[in-house]
Amino acid sequence: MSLEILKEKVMALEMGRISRQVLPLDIATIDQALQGGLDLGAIHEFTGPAASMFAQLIVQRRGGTTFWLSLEQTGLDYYPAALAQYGGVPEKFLALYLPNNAAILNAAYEILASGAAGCVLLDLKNPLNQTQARKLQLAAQATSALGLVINSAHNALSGEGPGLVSSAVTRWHVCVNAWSTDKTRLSLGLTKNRRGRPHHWIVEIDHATHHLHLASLAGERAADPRRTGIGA
Amino acid sequence: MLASERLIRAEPGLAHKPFALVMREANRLYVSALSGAADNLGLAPGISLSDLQAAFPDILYLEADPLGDAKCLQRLLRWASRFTPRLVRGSACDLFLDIAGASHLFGDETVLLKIIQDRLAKLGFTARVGLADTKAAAWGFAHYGPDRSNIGKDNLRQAAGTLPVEALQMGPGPTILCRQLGLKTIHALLALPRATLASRIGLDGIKRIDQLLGEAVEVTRFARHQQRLVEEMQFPDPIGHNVGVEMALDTLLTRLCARLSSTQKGIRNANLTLARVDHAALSFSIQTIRPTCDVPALKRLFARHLEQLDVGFGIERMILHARHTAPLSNQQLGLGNRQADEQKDALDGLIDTLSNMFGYERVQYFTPADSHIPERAFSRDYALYPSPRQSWTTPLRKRPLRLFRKPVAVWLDKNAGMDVPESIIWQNQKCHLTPLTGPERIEPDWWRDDPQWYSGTRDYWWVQTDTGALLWLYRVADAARVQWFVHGLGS
Repeated sequence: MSLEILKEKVMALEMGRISRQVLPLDIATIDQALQGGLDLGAIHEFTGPAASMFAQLIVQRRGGTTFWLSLEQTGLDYYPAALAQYGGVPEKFLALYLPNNAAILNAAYEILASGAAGCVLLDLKNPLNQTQARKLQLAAQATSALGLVINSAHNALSGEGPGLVSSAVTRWHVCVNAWSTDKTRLSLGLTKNRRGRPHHWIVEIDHATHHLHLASLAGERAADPRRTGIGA
Repeated sequence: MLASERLIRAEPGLAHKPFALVMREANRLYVSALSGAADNLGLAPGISLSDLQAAFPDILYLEADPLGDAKCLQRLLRWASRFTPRLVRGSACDLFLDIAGASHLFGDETVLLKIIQDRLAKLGFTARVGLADTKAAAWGFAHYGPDRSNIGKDNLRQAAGTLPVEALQMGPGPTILCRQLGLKTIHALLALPRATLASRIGLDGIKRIDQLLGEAVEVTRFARHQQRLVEEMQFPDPIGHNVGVEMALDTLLTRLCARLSSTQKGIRNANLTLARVDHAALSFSIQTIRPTCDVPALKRLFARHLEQLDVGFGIERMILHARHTAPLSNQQLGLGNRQADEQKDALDGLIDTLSNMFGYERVQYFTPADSHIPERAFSRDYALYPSPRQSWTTPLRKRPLRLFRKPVAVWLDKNAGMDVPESIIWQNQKCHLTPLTGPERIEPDWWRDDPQWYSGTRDYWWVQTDTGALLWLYRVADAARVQWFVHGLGS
């Protein structure tokens, strides 16, 4: 018990906050693995081909105003007309098109520190380095905002490499397993978890309700690692 | 005259050409004004354009711009404020100047009249000026009296008698009646007993006569000049440090906001100019989403600019100018919903900060647009200048979460014809595709010239790759070849 308390204290020191606020995902095993839910006032990273989709689910659960930061020369927009189909609210979605990486970080810092935003979505070309990631964590830690770094280009098959936010509290690797008109099955890999051990789940999204529920346990996952996208 | 002279001023080549200004009323084009050079052609404004062209086939005609004329007159009014601060626009092209107590600055009244007329002539405007003790009389003499007539108090009654009845501005009815009765001048009217006159031209007519002669009151509301919202500070010793600049800015903002808040207005756009000792001027602008008089918030917006300030050898002068103000929105304090209000305030503050940090054009939100073309189904708007929100309608078919601005061509490793390819090279990886739904056919807007849609009709498919991505693929086909593009990502 004392070890648990000590762990909690160390974590609180690292995260720079006394009381922990979480965003439960309402799936018992996932919340358990995260010790209650996703940490608010923290940076989370999403990798894999379906990173945006899962990040959108988190955004929707968090609510509030979403800021999406990207480079102006980026070719990949968020498509607001379809946001509602993914459970988003286009009215509460603000886009910032910025000239360079430094401006993105500057803006992200400002938004996270203001506490006025629900989520900050970062589309980065160049990965964050340790200092930059820590700085963002410092900005977010006093608020209940979520910093979501989307890194869909990163390939988990090649393992830990450059391009990963090392001080993120969690890192997820998300792929689409199966898709039908009414539900999408996602392979959800928690590849980094500062609250516990890495995990893997298969979850399903109901398109009508945007509700996330567990489809199967990790043990039942397909044998082919390529299909799940998680390295051995 | 003003309308044509305004055009000549802008385009000196027109000066000696006769031309007409044409206006449209319902389906009829008629001449609203003629230029000075067209005066001796024997035409009068009001004739139709076709009549004009029948008489003078080669005459030049231009479209009249009443709004531009009004703006020009407004600028002339401001120009005239050099003679007196009390001035007002009349109907048509009339400007009234109250020169009581101002004429001696220019010599005397006669000199002032000449100065006004000459300076207007230099600007290219022909003006008739008249001076009298009442507003109605001044109008009458300027329009119908001898040019530059200066009528004193003593001979007003006598001089006014010579004016035609039109000078009374009684309106068309009584004026025509007077003409028909043979009462051509004001003198003829004054000779009649008032009681019988009142039954002919009405009490309003009597009132106009009294106003002209200064026996009845005519109230004039003079144009109020907008205060220039500028605060300035001059330093005997140049400021050589940022802290000093910030303190001075604080004072300037406090003063300006105090002035503004007394009229219930707030700043939307302000500019700060710092004059350096070496004659360099540094200028910074800020904008806010809502009019505000909040000194600390405004100071914070300026502070970002001041961070990288180079004071050089010192700042000797600071000028703060509120370029755009708007009435403060009197927000009712919500009962019980204070948290939401605070959240909204914080968000507005954040949008201000971001827009000022990176430029307002970089902070955008999306508004719906009505089009079946995917990339046209939304438009972007600046968050700093919000337009009324419209509601979004969810598209009937599944649309991608992320959309490529320019669709990305995909490489096929073998030609699959018109079918969805089995595998493609996507992001440097070979992916096997599983078609999910499709085709959905989207036709380009034929009335729009959009290079992206030159290739014609597109057939869209949703496909899943074996790497776990959802792609929104489309196919364009012409006689020569079939091409595939990725337009969006579903995940």
